[in-house]
Amino acid sequence: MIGLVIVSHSAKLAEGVCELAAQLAQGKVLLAPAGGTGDASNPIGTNALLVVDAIGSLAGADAVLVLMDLGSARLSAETALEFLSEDQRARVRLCPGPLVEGAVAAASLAAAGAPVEEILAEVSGAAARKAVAEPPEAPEERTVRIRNPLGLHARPAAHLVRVARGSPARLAIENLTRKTGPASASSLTALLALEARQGDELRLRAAGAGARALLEELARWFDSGCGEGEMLAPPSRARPRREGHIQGLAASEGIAIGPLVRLETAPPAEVEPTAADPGEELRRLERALEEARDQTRRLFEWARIEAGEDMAGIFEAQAVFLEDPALLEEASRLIEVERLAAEAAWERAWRGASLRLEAVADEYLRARAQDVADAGRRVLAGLKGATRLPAPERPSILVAAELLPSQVSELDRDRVLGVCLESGSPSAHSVILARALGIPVVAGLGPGLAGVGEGTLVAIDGASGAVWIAPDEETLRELEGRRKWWLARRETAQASRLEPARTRDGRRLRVAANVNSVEGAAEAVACGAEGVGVLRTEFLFLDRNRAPDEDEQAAAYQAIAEALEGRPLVIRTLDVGADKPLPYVETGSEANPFLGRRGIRFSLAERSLFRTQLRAIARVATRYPVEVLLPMVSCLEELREAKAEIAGIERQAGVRLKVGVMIEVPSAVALAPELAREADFFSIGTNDLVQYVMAADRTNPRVAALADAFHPAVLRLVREAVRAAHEARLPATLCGELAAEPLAAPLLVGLGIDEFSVSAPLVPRIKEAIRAVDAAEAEKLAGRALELDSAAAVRRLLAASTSTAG
Amino acid sequence: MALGRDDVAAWLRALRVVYAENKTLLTDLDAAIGDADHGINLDRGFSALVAELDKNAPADIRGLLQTTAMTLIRHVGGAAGPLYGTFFLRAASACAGKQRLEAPDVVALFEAGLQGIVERGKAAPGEKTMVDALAPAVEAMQRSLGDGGRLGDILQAGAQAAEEGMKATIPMEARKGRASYLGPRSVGHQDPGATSAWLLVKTAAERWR
Repeated sequence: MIGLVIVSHSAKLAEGVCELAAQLAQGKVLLAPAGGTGDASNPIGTNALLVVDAIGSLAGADAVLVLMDLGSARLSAETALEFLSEDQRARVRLCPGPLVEGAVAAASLAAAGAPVEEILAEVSGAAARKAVAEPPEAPEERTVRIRNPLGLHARPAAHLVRVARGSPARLAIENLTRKTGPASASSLTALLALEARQGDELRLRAAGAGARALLEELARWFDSGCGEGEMLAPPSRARPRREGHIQGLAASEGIAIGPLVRLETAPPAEVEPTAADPGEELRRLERALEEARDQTRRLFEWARIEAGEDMAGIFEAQAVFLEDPALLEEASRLIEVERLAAEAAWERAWRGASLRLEAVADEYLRARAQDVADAGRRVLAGLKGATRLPAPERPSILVAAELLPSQVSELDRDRVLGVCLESGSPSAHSVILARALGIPVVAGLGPGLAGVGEGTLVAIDGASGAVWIAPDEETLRELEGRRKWWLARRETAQASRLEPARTRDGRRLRVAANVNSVEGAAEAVACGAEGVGVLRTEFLFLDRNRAPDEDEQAAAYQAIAEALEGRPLVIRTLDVGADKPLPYVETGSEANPFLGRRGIRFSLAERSLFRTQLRAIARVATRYPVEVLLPMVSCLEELREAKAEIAGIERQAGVRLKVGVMIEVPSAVALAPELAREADFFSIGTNDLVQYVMAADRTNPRVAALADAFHPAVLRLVREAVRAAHEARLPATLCGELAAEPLAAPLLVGLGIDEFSVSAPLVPRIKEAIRAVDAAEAEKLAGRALELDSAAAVRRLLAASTSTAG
Repeated sequence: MALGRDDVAAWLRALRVVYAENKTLLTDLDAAIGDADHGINLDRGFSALVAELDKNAPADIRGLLQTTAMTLIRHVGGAAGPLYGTFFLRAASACAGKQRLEAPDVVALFEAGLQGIVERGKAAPGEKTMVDALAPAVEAMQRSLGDGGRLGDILQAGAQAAEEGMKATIPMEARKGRASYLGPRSVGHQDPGATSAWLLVKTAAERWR
């Protein structure tokens, strides 16, 4: 009988894994946990002597396999061997490989009577490394090609093993394209180690009874795309046919094909402007507001889960709007004094407030005109009893003048394959949400679809901004191929999200997540983020009557650091100003908070708040890889003054903190070489940078188009900042929506960005976008982009060089 | 001068004091690139060792070192437990049957310990680990022994080389253990393991002048 010893840092985990393995062992395998240190005051860790005991307890086993979790568990297990007698040692084998999967596989194989060497090879992946099978003598031979987009991954490989084991013939497979193998077809890991991807050529060699039949069966199976459907050839680099297509703005990548359906917004129902009973009207308004707040909370939760908490912030801003005291007061006044009905009062108060809010600075509170409209509409809908977006009857392409963020949540994703917007820009919140959800969107089409009848077949490519109206057969076939390819790529991105991102020519880039909460950190790890690029700490400070104290902050930072399991955490110090007032700090009012005392300026003015935050950060930095990021730095003095504060706190806490500078105002770019001498890293924040550089508020529809991060003026500054960082041997991160656009990936790689920080759910796709880039080519591409004369031209260049498909 | 059982015991007890004094330093170094427990773990391990020696002190050098190994393995949870445990286990074997340690025996003790750590951790020099302090220390001791140095000089040379090796870990990029997760971010930090290894040699040099 075979015995398994499970060595884990956690006693509970070791016992749990034994429990799991026991289910598959059917009583035919002996199991012994060796988890934890055995020291109650310090339970997490491993103890070689417990491993010795566990091995000793399996005296009835002919062979003992030891499985381990983390690095030092292996050290303990190896140390344990030194304490065993010769006899015992001869029976024990250490088994590298994943703990849980390994235990389950070992238990089931052992229960099936597999010899210990085979189990060891299978579990440790040694079979995969060796991957060499004796080529059968006098074989039948057949060459096949991998046709399915995901290649010979676990599911088809498992099928192959079953077929091969079911045949008396011996089968070995060699990957001729990658020169891997030959692998024995009866070993799953060996087959996976062939790394057979789409397009690879494999040689199958079989000998023995039934060899020919086996090869024929498998050749058919490979031809069918390993049972995963027809061939999806990578599309050619050539652009699709130009005829019959109209050009909009590339907004959210992806190909969609379907009948056109128009989103009709019903004309507002006429209501009596005045009402007899102000008391009743006030109650109606209150109910509608309450309902709208509830909906907003639900939208926040929805967006957090579906699109990441970064995106959910859109609805957070809307919730703030629905609590705005001036707005509520004005609406009540209109009802009580002017005797207006709730609908009319709300509409007037809301329009007035949205005008006032347009004058406010930071995007967080100012909420775009679109968002205010969205929140206001929700209240009106409550009053008038309006309903959700009607879902199309069949899968369709939705055409609308514009889409509000909450309407994106109402899109039935089985029925809405893609969206065409007549107005709207690629940086509208609704479009950003659609992008996070993976819905293809083309924006800014103008009246181009006005004459197209309902039900007409249309196809859109969100990466190039093209829309085909009633495409001919040939175009349609090509686009269908591209859609399948795009969907397969999405699946690959998800499957390889935990793998690092390397460009085709081997440059390693890091992809981290923007995080605003404790839950967000765990989500980021699950999405494959390699750390937190920006922890926005405002969540700890807003919506409360007293500043969070050092303990509370430290506990929050620690919880986040813990969730990251050793990955780096960059904490941005508080970024507020007069536009995001804190009730417990006298901020005064400013005519133009966007150019006022915000970011690091605020922190330096509110010194005790700043120190408390730094102390909390320093406390956590004694145990975790934590770095500090200073927002809105515009001159050297600010950095020096902040660093002087930090130095004092470092001394008290006995840590050394790395200090990074947000590059988000033009002066910081101009001073980048000097800042780089005194900082430890740069984080380029394009969302604000673009607005300051172009002197354009992206929430002001009249100038929003100017505030486009793809503008060569912005890109040149990004290049300057990266150069300055690299000359000082500092890394440069890019955070901001630009980083989250797969379209921008080659451009940013070409500009030399080292790390991307994006909303967690986008991590897999950004990694996949990076993997498609050739860094050397990307540098040339970026050089060309910088010479162009508009953002639109840059988008066109990028869309042409990296269509959704390629 | 040759070392007796009591000299070895004095070294071990001195290590308990040294690691307690440097607990914060080691933990802080570990915080920058690891999981912030190196100082805490060694302090706990050597405190447990002294408690064990107070209760039940072995009568010979080998026994002392063996007890040290077992206690560290039992009480130091992280990678340092098996690594230093193996160091002392091999050191104990190297001292088997010896009542007194002459200079070549002391060098052999460190050689065997280093050998154990290398085998256990599979780290090569330059990977930002204990080996970066211990390997140059052992080489310096061998050289000094070859030049006919006295025990005090030999250990002094070892401690100095360990210190240089420890400092040389600052610009290195970690390739082993948890610090390797940080990749280039581990550059600029002194390795906690190399630091505790330096303390191990330095304390011997101070005790066994």
